Amino acid sequence: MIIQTVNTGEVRVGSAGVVFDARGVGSCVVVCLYDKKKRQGGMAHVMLPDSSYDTQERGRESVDSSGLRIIRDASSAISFLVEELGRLGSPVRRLEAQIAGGAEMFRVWRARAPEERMGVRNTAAVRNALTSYNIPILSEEVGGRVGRSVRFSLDDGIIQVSSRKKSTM
Amino acid sequence: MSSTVITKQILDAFSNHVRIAMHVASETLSSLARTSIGVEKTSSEIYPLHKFHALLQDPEAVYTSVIMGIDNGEKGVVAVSILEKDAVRFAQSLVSQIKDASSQDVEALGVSALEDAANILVGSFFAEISRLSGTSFVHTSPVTVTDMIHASLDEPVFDFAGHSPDALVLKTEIALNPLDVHAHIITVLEEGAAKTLLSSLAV
Repeated sequence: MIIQTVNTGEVRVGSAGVVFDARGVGSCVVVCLYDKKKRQGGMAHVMLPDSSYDTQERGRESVDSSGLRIIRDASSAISFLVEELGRLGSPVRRLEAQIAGGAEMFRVWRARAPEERMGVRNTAAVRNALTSYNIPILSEEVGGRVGRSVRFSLDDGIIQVSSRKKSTM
Repeated sequence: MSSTVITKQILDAFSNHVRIAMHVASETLSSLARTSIGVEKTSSEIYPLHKFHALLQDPEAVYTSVIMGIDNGEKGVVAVSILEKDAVRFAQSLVSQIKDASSQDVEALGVSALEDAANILVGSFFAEISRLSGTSFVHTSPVTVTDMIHASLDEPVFDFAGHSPDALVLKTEIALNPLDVHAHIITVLEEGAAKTLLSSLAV
């Protein structure tokens, strides 16, 4: 079993034998897509709700020094996962999603209305992007005021969400 | 930001000013805790925003973080993060003179004491930085959270991706003796404020 860390803004795809690991997720949302038939899938650690929110002058996508793809917004990250899994033989109709994260860690942060908070916006953006591809969300653990870590096994498509106080899914 | 090269000289200069600021803070903290608190060491590192995760050795480690905006969050954010078990010990030392407090009171007073201590640390830090750079850095009221450190900090840090393409992340580590409490001061500065600061350090 190979464990691959998926840091904030990173996107990875892989197949059986790989476990993706996103640790300490707060307002970000982790999106896991899985194709049961091919036993392959991908994880995106979404940092921003949309690309217009992202002022990075170098564009929506970049590749870091190790060659890992950095895609920070929900729509671009999910589009990349769908395209990449399609290229590997998993059509979008076979993909199923599980999501976790989108927390609001503070009662008060920058005096924003709840709907303007980063966690809420990230979660809504992920749902919209998945809906646009008709990808069903099989399970989710989002919101609240708790940090989470997410492990996604490509052997069986099961994700484990753990927090400071509990383990679920 | 790209026009300012971050050299070892800049980092050393920054660390030196942090050291001065922390010694001022330790005197005030000693008075608050009614015991002598010294700053054992300081060190500083600088990361670009998208490498924020690299500064956290264990993103799942549970820290108590006291977080403040800088000039209402327009110029940046600053977090004072202490391992949860150290934070409890530190808070106990700060409120130990209150003998009749119930455990619940101690918890409430402990958070308040930690926020006071963080205010002192950050206030001293920015007074020195303001003196150095000639730019005012005023911080807002603190909010406190105890959770995995990455989860606690990602919203305040990544908020900046929306309005500051090249925000800088500064990490300063201090050790408070004799309590043996290590604290991380993580400062995120938006591009303009960071440029002003780094330019002044580069002279």
